[in-house]
Amino acid sequence: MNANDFVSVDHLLAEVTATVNDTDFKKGFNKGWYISRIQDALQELSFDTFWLTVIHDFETPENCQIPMPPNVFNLREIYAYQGELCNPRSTQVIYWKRLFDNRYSGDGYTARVKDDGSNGADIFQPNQRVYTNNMQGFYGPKYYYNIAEGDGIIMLSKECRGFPFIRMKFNAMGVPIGDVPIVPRFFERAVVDYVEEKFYNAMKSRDIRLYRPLWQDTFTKLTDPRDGSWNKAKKRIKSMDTSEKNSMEEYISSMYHK
Amino acid sequence: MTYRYVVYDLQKNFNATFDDADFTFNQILYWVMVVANRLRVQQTMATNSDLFTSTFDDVPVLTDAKGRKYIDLPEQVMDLPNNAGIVYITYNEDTCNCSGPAFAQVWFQGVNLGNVQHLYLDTYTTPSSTRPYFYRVGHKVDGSGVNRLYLLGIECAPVKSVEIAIKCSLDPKKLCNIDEDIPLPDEMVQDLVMQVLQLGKFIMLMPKEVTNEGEDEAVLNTQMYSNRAVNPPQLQPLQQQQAE
Repeated sequence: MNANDFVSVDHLLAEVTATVNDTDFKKGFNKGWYISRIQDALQELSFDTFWLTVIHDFETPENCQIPMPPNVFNLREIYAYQGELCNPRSTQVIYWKRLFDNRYSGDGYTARVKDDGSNGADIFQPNQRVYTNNMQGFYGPKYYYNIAEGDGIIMLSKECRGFPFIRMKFNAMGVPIGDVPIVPRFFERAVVDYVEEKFYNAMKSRDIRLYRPLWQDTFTKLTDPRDGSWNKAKKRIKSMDTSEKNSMEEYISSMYHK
Repeated sequence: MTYRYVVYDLQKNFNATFDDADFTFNQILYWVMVVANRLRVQQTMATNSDLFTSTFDDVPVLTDAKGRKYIDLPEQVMDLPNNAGIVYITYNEDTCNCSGPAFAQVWFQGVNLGNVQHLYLDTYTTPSSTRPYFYRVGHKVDGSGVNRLYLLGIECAPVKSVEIAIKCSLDPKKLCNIDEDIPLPDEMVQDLVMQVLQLGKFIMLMPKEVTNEGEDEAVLNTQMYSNRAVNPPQLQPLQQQQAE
């Protein structure tokens, strides 16, 4: 489901600190520690649900290398386009090519299967050139990318230079570390329970007999597979808007009858 | 209940019991303040009320020889867990009155001196002018006795003074008027009187206990002890015979 409604960090802190009896922040944890845990919760929810997406636009670099921006993961979509940043025209989907690697210069590249005929002597791999070249020129998916493992560099095929801009859509890991967390109201219960669980978990090392039962209760409230707030948050954010669902049903029900 | 009223009452009671003892007014006054300090801490721990909280509007921020900013505490502070004796420290300017007082917006958070380095490990806890901290140095700095709170996060901010609220202890040196009320709830005056009497009784007992009477079989007179489990009352002669 989608919404544009958020709760503030102070709103969450008011509940959490009252529950753990630390409204004056004098139990050994300062306000920043709580905010850091809220950020943690959103980060974990991001990895679990892919709820947050961000778009980055780049000018196509000459060497075809674009470092992955910070605070993102999971490249969802990538396009090359002409026109302007605020008005893309003549767009082209860029596809992922397995084992493609053109790091450094951007021109030559290595891959198990190549489309430029440069592996013509390979007796095991077919020469893809015959499939991608004809009398009228190249055709087929010449716009592709791969991500350099470990470096986080997005490597584009040299033909992408024909487009001045690249647009990528990623999942984000919540807000960048240090920024004030933005919490959708879908997640309020899960984030509150998460922070409380972390508080009691930390307090266990101070007084295990007092805090272990409290931690256990909170842990169950958070992670119960049937009624836990974490699972509820995941279900909520992954469910479709009713309008989306209706459109999907209509599309599927009519697709074989036209 | 004023100091004068309680101290004279105690002095009269002491003199009735130990008529040859010389309890001075100032001595009993000192005991009253010692006991009152303990009762105030106990009461604070039990109720967490702000009955013993005092505020100071304009405490100057100073800089030491190393360029670290600090304030001198205007009173001695109750030593409660996690610096709970310091209720708040905030900027001495209400910049957003419509949102409440300054101490509800930005306040200096307490940290133990040994944990200061831990603050710098996390971006969200790193000290800054919007996220300031304090730590206490309550004994000595370079051999000189101090009672300071050092301030973190305002190193580059031009802060000249701060507003603070603290839970104060009573300092016998600063009592100028014995007709002031004892800063305790009235219902605790009975506890105060009882504990001062106990203190005086114990002190009067001490010289007798350490007396060397020069006899090996001397039995100390322990009847004054209130702990009967350790010092059972002497058996009556008839009971002693039966026991033998």
